[in-house]
Amino acid sequence: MALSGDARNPIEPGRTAEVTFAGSGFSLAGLLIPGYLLMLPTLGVFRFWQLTAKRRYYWSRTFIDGDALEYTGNAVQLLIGFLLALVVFIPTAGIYFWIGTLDQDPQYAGYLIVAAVLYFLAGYAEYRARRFRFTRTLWRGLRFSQSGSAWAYAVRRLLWSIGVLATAGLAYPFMRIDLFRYAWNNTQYGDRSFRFTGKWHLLIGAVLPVALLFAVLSAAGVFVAIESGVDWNRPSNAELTIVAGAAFILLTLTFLFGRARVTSRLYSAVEIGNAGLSVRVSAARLVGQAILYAILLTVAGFLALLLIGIASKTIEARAAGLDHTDISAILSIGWWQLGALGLGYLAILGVLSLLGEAILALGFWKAVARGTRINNADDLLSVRRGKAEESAVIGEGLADALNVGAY
Amino acid sequence: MQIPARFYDGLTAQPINALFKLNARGHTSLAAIEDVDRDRDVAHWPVNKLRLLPNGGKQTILACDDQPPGARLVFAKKEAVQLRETLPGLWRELRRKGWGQARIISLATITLAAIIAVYVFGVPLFARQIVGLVPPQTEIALGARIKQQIEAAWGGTNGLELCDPNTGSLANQAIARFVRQVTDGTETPFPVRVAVVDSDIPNAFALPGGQTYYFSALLKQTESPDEFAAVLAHEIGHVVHRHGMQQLVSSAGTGLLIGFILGDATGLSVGAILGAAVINTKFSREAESEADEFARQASARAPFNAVALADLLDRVAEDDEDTASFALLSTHPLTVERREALRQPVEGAGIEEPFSAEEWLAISHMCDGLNIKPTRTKKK
Repeated sequence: MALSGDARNPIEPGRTAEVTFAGSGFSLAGLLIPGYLLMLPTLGVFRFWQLTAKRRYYWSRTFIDGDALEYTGNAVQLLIGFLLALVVFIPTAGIYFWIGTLDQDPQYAGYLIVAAVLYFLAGYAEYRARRFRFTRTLWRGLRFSQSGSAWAYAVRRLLWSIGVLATAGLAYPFMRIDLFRYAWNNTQYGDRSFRFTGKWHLLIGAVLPVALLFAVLSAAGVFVAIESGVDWNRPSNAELTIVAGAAFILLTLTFLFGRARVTSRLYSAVEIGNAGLSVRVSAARLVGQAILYAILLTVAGFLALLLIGIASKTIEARAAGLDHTDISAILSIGWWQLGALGLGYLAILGVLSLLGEAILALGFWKAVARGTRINNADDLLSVRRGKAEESAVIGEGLADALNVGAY
Repeated sequence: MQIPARFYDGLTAQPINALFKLNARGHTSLAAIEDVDRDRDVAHWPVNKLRLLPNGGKQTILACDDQPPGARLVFAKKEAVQLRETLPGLWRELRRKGWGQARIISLATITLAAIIAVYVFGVPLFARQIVGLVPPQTEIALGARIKQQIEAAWGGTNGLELCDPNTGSLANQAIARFVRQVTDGTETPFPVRVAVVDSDIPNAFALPGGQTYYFSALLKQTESPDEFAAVLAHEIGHVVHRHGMQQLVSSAGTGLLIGFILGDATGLSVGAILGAAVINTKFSREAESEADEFARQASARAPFNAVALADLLDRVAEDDEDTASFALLSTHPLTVERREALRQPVEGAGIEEPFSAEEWLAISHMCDGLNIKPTRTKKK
């Protein structure tokens, strides 16, 4: 049926559409901070509402060709999914404890098996969580959907992961492509399917230069360190700090450049009908965000140290002379100190999480949105409604418990 | 009343620049949606089926219950003001739903709190049941591993050194005889092994599987055979009741379960730690009085004075110069009730001494052969 020539929306062949994101770190922080505070009196129950609010924030501020996305999921669905996931987890906890009572060798084997099962389930959860999000995403009144089997995806992911381990990481780019292809070839918008056109070697060009650069710089670093006569048996603190710092910065840069290139290449190979994505994520932008994050983290850390310094003065007075090797003695510190310790711990986690959300996560979303163009965008006008049932909720709960799937 | 909006019909991906027309031509119950570009009405939505969605962010989204699920009218911020003045009921309805969510949150929180409470108070009971199912052999094997860890943690490089390794010595023989007397007729799941070891911390405790320690620093403060016997009988009570194993079961389950209930293991593991601490405190108080009761009953079989346990704890507590004594007191908090309970008379509890004069002399000097470090070397 040729619907494309409608008078209301004249087709402009080859028109390129833009994606914009109207969110900012400040407004996201304004949404998240009250949510973090509500976590305390609700014993953490509020996080399902927090996640829903966060998704509404991201979706409603992401405009594709002028029209915003809409997130139609709600918090109760997430809560139910979590309760279902508990059904998996409570027996796992029991098994975990039972393994702890075994002899050393079967104990290690047992932990390995539990870890492998959890890793496999994480793959299942990842795919179901993606389905949960897509089936609850609306654009121009039509729903996205995802077919395919979460078990099949989990098996693929497990087998590829074994391959990645066996090849010391070399197989990773191919795993990434294969899983990305599986997911996008099973994704629909309305009645139209996406397809991934990337070849198996798509990421070699993206990953290889970064990996080589990393290898060369590492080798150079080691060479310089040896030449300058560092005694590795007794390196001084300053030398260790410099080496560790340089390695950390190098790793971070590698990761950011790699992430920008891999994301750009993967999404640029996604097409739907005659329309297609063209994505260029700016690595410089990601590096800028990382620097801002590091600066704010340093400031927050400095403030935290200041507070801890004041607090420990009062505790020190009480705990002077306590035998620090004795756990029960440490536990005999008063309840209010323990409470303060707990609150302080949560506050630190809250600040870390807030900075991660408002700068890194939001920054990445923004960088992807800004770098995305839709080629031949008017082809999408002819999409019609598909079979839009909402997916079952179980995967999302598992994903929450296993901590996968960010947005 | 005409308000500009973006209209999606929910059937096609064609966005329409529309006018949302209320009270058009006198129709109060039906709102018309006009396609501005084609200058004609494309849909009619019943006003009483309109629903305001919370999903719009800065925009305002209107859906209609008898339209396709994806059908939407999207208003920009400025236009939404106009809509709100015309149809304030939509906002009231949305607020009402918000309160509904708040009720769900409260209910879920209360349920969670109740589960945690049941768990905190139920764990000691469950732990007892579960430990009843654990074969003694398993507990002995587990105890052997914990022994290695304990000796590494408390004893330093050489582990905990036995004061008198000769099992045939007068002191060890006397202790073994006392253990036999105390456990005689009780259903102890495993043999009790007492080790008097060299340590500058005054403490005594029992591990799962029957291994019991008496530290030399506590022996130095022990002034009578009654005190030694009472402490030993108390620790044997822990062994017979399998308290160590119960504690292990309860604390292991707690951390994991609370971690899972509260979500990601990293974020709220502190909650798990606090929860475990609460349960442990409650648990150990019950276990202590149970072990006291065992010691009181045992004072009839191996005649000694059970109140001596309280005397020794008092003396260690008085020595507040030595903060290391907190170790003993934090696991054995001494209360008036405990002392009163210990004082209850037991039939057959003798005036006799549990050990002969020679035996007590040998026991109290067990650790003299070793070069005992002064008690307070660890202090800063």
